[in-house]
Amino acid sequence: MGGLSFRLKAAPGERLDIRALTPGRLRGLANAEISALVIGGSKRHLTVGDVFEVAGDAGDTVTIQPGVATLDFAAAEMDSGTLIIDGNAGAYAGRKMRGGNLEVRGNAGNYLASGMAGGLIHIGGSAGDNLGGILAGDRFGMIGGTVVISGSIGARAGDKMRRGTVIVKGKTGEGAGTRMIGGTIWAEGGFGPAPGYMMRRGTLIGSTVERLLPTFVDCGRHDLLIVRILSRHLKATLGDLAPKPMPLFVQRIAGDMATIGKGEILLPAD
Amino acid sequence: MLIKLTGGKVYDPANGVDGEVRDIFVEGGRIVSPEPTAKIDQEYALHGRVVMAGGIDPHSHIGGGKVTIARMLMPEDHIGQEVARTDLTRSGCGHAIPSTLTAGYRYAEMGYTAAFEPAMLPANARQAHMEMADTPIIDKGAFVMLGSDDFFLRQLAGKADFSAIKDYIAWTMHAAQAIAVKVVNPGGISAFKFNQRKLDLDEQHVHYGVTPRDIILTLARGLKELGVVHPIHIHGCNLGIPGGVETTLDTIRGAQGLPIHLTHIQFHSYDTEGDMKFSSGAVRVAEAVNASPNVSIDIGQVMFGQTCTASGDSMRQFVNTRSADPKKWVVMDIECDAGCGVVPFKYRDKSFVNALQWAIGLELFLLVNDPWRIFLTTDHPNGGPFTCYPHLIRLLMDKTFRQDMMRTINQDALKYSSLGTLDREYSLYEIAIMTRAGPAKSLGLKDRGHLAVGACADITVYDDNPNREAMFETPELVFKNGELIVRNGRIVKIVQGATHVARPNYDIGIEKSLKAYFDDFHTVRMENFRLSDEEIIAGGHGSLIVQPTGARTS
Repeated sequence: MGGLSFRLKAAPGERLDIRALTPGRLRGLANAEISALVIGGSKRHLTVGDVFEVAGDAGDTVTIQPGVATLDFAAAEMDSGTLIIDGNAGAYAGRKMRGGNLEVRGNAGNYLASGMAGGLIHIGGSAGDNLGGILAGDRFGMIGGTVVISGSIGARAGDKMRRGTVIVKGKTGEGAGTRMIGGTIWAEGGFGPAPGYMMRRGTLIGSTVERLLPTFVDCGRHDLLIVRILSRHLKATLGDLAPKPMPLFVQRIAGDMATIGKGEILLPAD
Repeated sequence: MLIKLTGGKVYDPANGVDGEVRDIFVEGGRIVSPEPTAKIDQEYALHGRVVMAGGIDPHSHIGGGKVTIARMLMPEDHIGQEVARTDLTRSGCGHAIPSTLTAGYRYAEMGYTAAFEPAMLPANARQAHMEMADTPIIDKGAFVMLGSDDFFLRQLAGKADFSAIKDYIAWTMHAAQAIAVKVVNPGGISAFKFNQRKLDLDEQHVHYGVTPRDIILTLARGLKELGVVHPIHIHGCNLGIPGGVETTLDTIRGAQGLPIHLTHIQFHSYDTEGDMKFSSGAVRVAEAVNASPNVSIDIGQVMFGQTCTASGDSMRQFVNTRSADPKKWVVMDIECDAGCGVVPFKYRDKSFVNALQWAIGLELFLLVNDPWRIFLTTDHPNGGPFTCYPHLIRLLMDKTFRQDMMRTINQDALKYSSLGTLDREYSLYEIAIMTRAGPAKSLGLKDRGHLAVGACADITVYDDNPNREAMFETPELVFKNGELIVRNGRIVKIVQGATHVARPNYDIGIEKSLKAYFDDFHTVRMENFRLSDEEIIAGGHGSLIVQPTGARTS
């Protein structure tokens, strides 16, 4: 137990790349070495020591407080341990994360969990656009792991997502599941307009849809065993963070028929 | 300033010097022979070091539209390959298709002082030269593409007077500022536009009725008569097709003794034996090359890893799109000139096909006897980036290393190749021929690629490390035009290289029919099509060197 904590001295005047501040990367570094790590994005070459007061000893947990929206790449490529941000995180949090836990108590920026392959991310607040999305040069968006957002999220969540689970307690923005190839997005508060634009496969589960695309086809009421198995699995693995189970019957809407149409939107059936 | 390089082992094959310990004197950018009493301003003690002329890459796609397309197509090639700026060098990025600046730095840091862009479309010449002007330190030049352009095919189909065809070849070399002429899938790129999907050596173009054989012979004869030193640079028909070896052998036999250069011949040496109907034809190709002194080749060695192929051969690249990895590609027609195909590839050592391609390339290296007629290339970036050269040199010079590598690749592939039976190891002298003296002689670079008095002082000094890969990766010293530019594999000074061109004589009267043709068919007027000297050298982008043209000596 125990761990390092980083206390922000003052709001930095530039965006910072804090991917180095994970338990795995800091293991075995002396505090002086940690303070000398360059995290600034400008030619000022800001170091950890310029921005944070470092306390504690290396362990399985790293805490950053308070978090501000200019801290980018939190937990990027993290493979183990826990990173807690007491406050907001910037863009690209959990980018290509492979394992471990990221806990953000405030909001997260755009491209949360982009290219994520494993691990658990929990955002206490809301997240920006392109959650689990794809960046230029990537082949896929999110390819594994679990993301839980207590608030709402922005547009185009799950762009080119291939695997993994996203649970949104609030509502999604426009175009959730855009170009989705697989995986699950569960929006308890419902989907914004045009979910599943050009999706090939994958599952969008939610309470409501603001506006369906014309290329989605109603397939009727179903008693889908897999939805109950999924609910039970999420309850077992996530506990209180799991979404409330869906009713017995769900309305299955398949699409996007503009591609191969093997994706689905599941809504509560009357 | 008089510089003395003392006591190095000099490998200068152009002058028959094989590892002799010699002093070299440099003054005013040239190698000189000073008076014994002359004052030495700077001396480098090079005892035990290997001294060669600067490396020359005769076939490397470093400029032009296709490279730009490849850079845009492959953002993943940039990620993790960012190079920060230093006080001397500018920032850049890229692995298989580096940015112009990074390409120049990497060549220099590897001891190369010249590289030649082999596929410049006349219509793209301006952009190609702008990119090469942006490539620092190294000398460069370009081969202009002919043979699939409508004007030439019209001339051929209309049985135009041979002197008019020669005038057109020469006019294009002048207009595009080229040092040589390349033909890519002769007539095939044009045939692709007429919905033909393959074109054999003796198959007729459906519209013009001419065959690739006619095209090759016309260009080969034209260049010979014009006195262009580098023979027609042929990217033959049927690239990458199992059985393509027959086409290659026919091309060699059909050359009628005219000088020809067959480029990236590895891709043209595939036979059809075995269960997979894919085997090595390297032995037959090497025999034919050995028996034909009019033929020179470069290999286009495949190196394992991610790269992005970029070629003017839209016909073959269209077929290759099936193997694109990652799955995305660009194949396009380019107005009256030709086409272009950019297809990302990942060569895998465990793949039967890729491992066999690798083996075929090495077989050809080891089976062709005369290093003066074979040049070391990976057809950058088509077989792999040029930064693989040190590894490739070690594969050629170190049999044990080669056998170790052979054990790591797909073993079935080795059954269809004779690589396992080949014991040859290249010597430093032969490597110096393949990477310096040979290309310089073939391209007609009079004062490059050798170290005699009067030569340009492009000199590379290596530590004589038994690990040849490490040796060729980080030269100790590199001089460009007599200035020290690299020390221990790091750039210490930035200079601008020259652009080499060849300008055979021709009758300007050809412009009369060309002007009418441009007015009717081109988007650009003839006067704007021509690239002026000022456009190349403006803004401090080096100089132009006109290499002499004249009758071939061998």
